[in-house]
Amino acid sequence: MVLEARSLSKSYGNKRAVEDVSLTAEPGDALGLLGPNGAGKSTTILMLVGLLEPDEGDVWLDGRSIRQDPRYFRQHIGLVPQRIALYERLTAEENLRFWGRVYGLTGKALAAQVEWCLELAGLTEHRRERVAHFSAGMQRRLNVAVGLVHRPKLLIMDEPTVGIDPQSRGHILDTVRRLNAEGMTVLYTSHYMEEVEYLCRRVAILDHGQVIAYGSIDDVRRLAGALSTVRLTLPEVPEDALAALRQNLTLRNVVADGNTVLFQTQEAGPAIARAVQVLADHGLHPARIDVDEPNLEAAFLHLTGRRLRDGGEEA
Amino acid sequence: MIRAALALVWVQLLQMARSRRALFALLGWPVALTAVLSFALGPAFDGQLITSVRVALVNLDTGSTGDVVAQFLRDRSGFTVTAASSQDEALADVAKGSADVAVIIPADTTEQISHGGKASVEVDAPPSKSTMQSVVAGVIQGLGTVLPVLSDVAGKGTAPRGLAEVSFVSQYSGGTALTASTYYAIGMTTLFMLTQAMNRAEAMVRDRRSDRWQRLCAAPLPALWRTVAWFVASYVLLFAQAVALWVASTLLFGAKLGTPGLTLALLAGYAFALTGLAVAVGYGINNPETVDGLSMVGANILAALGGSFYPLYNFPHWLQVLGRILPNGLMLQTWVQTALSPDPSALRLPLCVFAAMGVVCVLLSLGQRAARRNAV
Repeated sequence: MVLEARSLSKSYGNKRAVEDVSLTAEPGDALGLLGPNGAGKSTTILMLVGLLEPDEGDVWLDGRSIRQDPRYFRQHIGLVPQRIALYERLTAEENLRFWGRVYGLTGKALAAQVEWCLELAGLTEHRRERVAHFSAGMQRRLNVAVGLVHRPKLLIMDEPTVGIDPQSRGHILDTVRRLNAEGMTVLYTSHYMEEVEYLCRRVAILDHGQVIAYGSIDDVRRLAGALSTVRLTLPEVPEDALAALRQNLTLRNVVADGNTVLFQTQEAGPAIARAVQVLADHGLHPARIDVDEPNLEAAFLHLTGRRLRDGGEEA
Repeated sequence: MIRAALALVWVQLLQMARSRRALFALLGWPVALTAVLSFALGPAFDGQLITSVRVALVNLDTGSTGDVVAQFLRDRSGFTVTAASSQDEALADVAKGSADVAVIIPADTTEQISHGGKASVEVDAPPSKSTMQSVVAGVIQGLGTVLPVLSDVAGKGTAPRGLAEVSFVSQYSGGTALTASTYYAIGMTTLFMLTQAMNRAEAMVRDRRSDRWQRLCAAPLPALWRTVAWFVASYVLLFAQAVALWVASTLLFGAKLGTPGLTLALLAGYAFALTGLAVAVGYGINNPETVDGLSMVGANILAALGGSFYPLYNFPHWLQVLGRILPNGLMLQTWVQTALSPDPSALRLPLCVFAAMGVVCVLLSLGQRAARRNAV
């Protein structure tokens, strides 16, 4: 076992940020940590890498406790923080060299790792350009590469694709998937369920600081039962129309998201017909209707009655 | 560990060196302000720049020149001149503190000048009054150029021959007149080093709140080494700024800032104290806006009290005492004294104070770091 976290809890003042979180990651595993903003993902990660001391619980890496051997954790974990953690007036190569030195690399080993990381990030041609001149996507790719410069056993990534173009996002996801296939253990947090479904074999869903679902992707998907998620796009969503939809017992977890109404149902066809009728009674006609098969988003909606991307800021 | 820490120092210096804005704040702006103050305020202060001096004067000259010198000193604002009957009496006045400086005009002054020679006017003062001593010496040295005019106005008869060559030499060794350029070069360097230290503190607070710091803390570089790296980088920046301002003030504005050895020692000590302060503030305060406020308000208040904006010697006595307690005031006064009268022994106390301040601040910051167990 590479990583084991047992009964982690953390409070900020009176607010319980994380409560009784337990996770494990086997060698070569790809574990997703999924949850909305404020669910406690970042707090959990800070405890896993030793940047925050848990009020309760402990973390082990290769059988070593973080309380007793924090240096082992620091040497063997690669962290990719949520925001860009680079020196913007340094070039890509200078950044990689610096972080490599921080991890104790020197000489040829350092040079080889820098080359590998530049290639991995697709920045070999831009190695002598300053990070400040990079696009957001290039910065994100370098941000990931820096986390890999010392070839860690465990790569922990905290929402590494926020705010970038689809091309760079795809590049990062493919890179991480390839590294995982080559044996690197990955812990990936996101509130994008499609990223977690693409990268990970197992997932833990956090909400309000607690693990509400944990297991293989398929197991967690099944928690939503055979429910499909229906999205109806409307000119507006009045409260009385929403209340009327909620009175219909075949429509579950009815929520509004801007001009869209979402609900879950076992049989999409009849449910959509009923919903359209209810909305017509309120003078509303859907401009668009989408149906999603059961997925992690549906599981989260089923478990919490809320969408993944609802909620406040991350603790 | 040392390599990693040195890498961190290098990266911080590189970041700074590649920022035009930071470089302007570090060097350009201080040089510009020193120039403005030196050139704009210099004429206003002229030779009576910094002090209110009580002079015990003994005029032993048998001719008229001694009277001209005595009257000249009496007419200068900033000097309170009392006549003493003998050299011993004047020195006794200085010894018991009723006068700051004793000026003895020798008996052969007029005769020496009349024969185209030089007169030696003795200016005595205890070591603690060396700044005032040098001011008086500077004023008397500068008298030669205006002596003909003063002689006519005083109606003391025909001006001595060979006036163009007249000069007065005090027995004061190594004395240099304090000019506005010199004073403000010192004042501005003292001020901008303080400001730069607060800027470093603010940068440290911002860095500590960043994900980059988080990544650094997750790496195998212990907190102590991170602190050391921050300290070294900040120290290098402050010292480099001080040396650059020193060189610029000397070359561009003609400021006379003392012997290089003593000046560098003083700058090194002051930079050490300020770096300690920067690290302590950087670790002790979590809000960058608070540090920014401290930098804007606190540093300027300290600079004003310490004499960077207006000559400290013209402050009321209690304010002068307060100024000497402040690290920047202590630095300014010691540097002025060193510039006028190079005396290594005068540096002992300030350097000890600066070293102690730096060490205490670093220990405090390490203590804060240890106490904040949950912090990154």
